[in-house]
Amino acid sequence: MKFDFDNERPIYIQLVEQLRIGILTSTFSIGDKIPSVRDLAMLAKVNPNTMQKALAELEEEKLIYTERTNGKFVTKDVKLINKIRDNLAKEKAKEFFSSMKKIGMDENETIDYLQDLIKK
Amino acid sequence: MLGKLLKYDLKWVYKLIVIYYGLALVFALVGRGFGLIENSFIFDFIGKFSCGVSVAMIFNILINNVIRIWVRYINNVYKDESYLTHTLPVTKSEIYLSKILTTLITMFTSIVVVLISLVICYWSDNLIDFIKMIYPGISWSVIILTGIVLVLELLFLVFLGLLAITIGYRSNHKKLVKSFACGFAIYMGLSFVSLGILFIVGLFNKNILDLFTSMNPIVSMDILKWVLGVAAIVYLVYIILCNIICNKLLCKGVNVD
Amino acid sequence: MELLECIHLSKEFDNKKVLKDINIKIPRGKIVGLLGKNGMGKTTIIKLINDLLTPTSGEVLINGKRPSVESKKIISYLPERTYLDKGMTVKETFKFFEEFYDNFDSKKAYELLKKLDLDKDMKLTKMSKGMQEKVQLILVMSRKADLYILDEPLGGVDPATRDYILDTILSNFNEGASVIISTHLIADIERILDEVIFIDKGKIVLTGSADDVRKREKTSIDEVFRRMFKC
Repeated sequence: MKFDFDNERPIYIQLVEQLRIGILTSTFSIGDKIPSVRDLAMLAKVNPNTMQKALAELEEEKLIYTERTNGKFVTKDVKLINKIRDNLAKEKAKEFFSSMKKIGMDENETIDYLQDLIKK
Repeated sequence: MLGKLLKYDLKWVYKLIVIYYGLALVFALVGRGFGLIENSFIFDFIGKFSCGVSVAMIFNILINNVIRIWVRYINNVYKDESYLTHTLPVTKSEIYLSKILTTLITMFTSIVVVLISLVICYWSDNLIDFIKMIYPGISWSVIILTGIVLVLELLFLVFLGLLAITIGYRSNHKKLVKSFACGFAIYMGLSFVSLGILFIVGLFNKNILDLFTSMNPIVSMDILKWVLGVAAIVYLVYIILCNIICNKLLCKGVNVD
Repeated sequence: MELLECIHLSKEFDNKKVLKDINIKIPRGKIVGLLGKNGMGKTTIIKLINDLLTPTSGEVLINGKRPSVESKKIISYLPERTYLDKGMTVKETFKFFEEFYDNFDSKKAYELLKKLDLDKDMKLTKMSKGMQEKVQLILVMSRKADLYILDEPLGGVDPATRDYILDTILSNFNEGASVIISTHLIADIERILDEVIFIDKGKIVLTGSADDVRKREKTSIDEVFRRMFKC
């Protein structure tokens, strides 16, 4: 997977976001082993400490788990992944609606507009 | 570690002067060879010319040897290369001791080459008769003693140079100029000290005192031996002092540009 | 015990204070950016750590001890100038490092040399300054050191070499080791930094974790730096 950062926000937060999307889009599939902190850090060209911090955050969300001697794995809990996707979708949808509002479309108008757009 | 430092110091100093070693010896041999051919003006001329070149090389050897020791010291301990020298896992004393040994070893080989070249070029029974004629009563002990004093003086000069550089490069500006000034000042100062020492020795030896007081002192071979002996000891003490002070200063730490 | 500690470190040249009361602590396992404009004292701090200058007051401690043979064994230092005997070939410089440093890995050095496409039999005098700097970088990064100190490693290098330098730093970096990178080109390296130390006019003006600074100032380290020094 490819990482892309802006320097304006903490790097570890951006790492968490992008790794999370990596899991949701099956770049890292359910139950798969994920590369070592070192390799991931090299891949993203970031400090291993920062990568460690990002993985710790994902582990707290239970999106990944550590098997003592084998390393880190993506969770097998499909429900959890769906829930997180759902949360993220909600967030994105809200963002979308609010930006449409800014150009003068309320929620119903926006939905109509979207349906028209898909039909075309 | 000292051995490794020494290896690289020697390599650097020898890099150029071994060429002069070769040239001095080759021209000496050529000179001697052509000189042996009798009754030939051309060969005689080539022989004398070659010996002349050999002598020029001898000066080259000595001057280059001294200068390369100083330049190596400045480059290696105070200029760009010092960034590596001072971050090697060695003590400052080891760094300096390597410079002392480099001086002693290279000067020794240079002097040996110089002597061999001179002997090849000019050694003959006539030469000894000639010297005996100019300096009646001269003995081998006086000649050897003179040689020792000359060598010690040369070594003193080299070490004085290292000390002057060490002092000059402690300041933040005009380091090289200050080194020269410092070296000159110490040399002048020590010259007076040497005279003083000879005078003190004179208090116990009337003949030496005569050198200071009499308008027309008699310089006998005996007195000469005395003076040379004192000079040898004095130079030896200076050399040791120079090196002790230099090492102390270096161990206090450096401030490189 | 901290890997590196500077305690009330000050340095004067001819009564001109170039460093004033510097206090730094660097533990193991961190990549630290020593950031400041040119001539503000970054190199002076680094030279004091490396025993190339003697402090006017205060002290530098490496593993609790002043600079010594022991500290030189564990510090791998890349100065901003070329410090090799230019009469040597690349191969000879590798041999030199191998002889003096127990932790020099010549196999790794030759690998890096190949990657950078340099000729081992080339004399340094025949090389451009940029090539010489690459050779030095290889020498410094091929040591398994506890503390790497890189003074302006990114100055005047092309983007490909810059990426290579950052990769080399990251791949060499391990939990037991720390890296100090001094630079004024912050945008290029800020994402690999754990901690930042801002130096201005011989003083530390800001220090902290890179992500904390970003969170607090809501912008990049580079931008914080630009605002602070108006450059």
